[in-house]
Amino acid sequence: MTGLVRYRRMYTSSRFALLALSFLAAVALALPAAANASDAGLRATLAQWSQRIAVDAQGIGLSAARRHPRRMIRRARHFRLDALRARKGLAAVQASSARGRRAKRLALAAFYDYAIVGRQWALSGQARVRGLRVAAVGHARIAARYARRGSALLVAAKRLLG
Amino acid sequence: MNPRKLIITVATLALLGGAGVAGAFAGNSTSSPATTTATPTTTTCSDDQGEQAENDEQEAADEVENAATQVDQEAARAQADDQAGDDQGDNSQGDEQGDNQNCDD
Repeated sequence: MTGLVRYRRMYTSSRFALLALSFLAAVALALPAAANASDAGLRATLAQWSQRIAVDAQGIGLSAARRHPRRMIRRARHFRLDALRARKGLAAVQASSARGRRAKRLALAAFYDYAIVGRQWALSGQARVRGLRVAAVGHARIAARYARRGSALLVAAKRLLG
Repeated sequence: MNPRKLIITVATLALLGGAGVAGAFAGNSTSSPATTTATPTTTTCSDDQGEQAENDEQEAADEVENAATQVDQEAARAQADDQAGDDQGDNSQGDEQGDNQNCDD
């Protein structure tokens, strides 16, 4: 009698163990896929905003080269707004891996620097319109410094995301 | 086969199948990453749209640095601005539209 009870107990516990194992296996299979999905979303968002920023920057370079400071000011403001929007967009995407989280931090810092670049370009253009060449050069130099730093951060973020 | 074993096997397979479906949905969700965020509408200028650089970030970094160099050079230049060309831009529609046509400044 005792042997039969023991056998039933063993049988029940092994059944639960098997169920628990299969559940854990299912969770283990689902988790990496979800993690990849989240980092891929981050990568896609970063790429989209990078494209946009590239187009904006191209226009600013053209306006500067053609000596159209007013147009450059408008575009610089727009560039700044896009950089801020990019930050907002990236902040809304959740990174799932440690690399993804680090990449996100770098990308947010990059777009923050780009927002400063946009501001300094606009100030440079305003100074130029007013004929304040020294001030225009000063703002342009600050912008160039932040542009280098932001670009390095952006490329580093991309490298982390692979 | 013992019916209990059969039930356990079926349950295991169902769980694994569920995990697979969840994985597939997670994979699909990457195709629309910006549904909850503001999606940038990128306008490309040239007809090499198909040849969009794989490394958008590097391209953006290069463009920003080029623009910074241009702005710096032009700020330092004593040459007068192109008033006429610049004024044409002032009557234009607005930043959004103007910036979407960056190609021909």
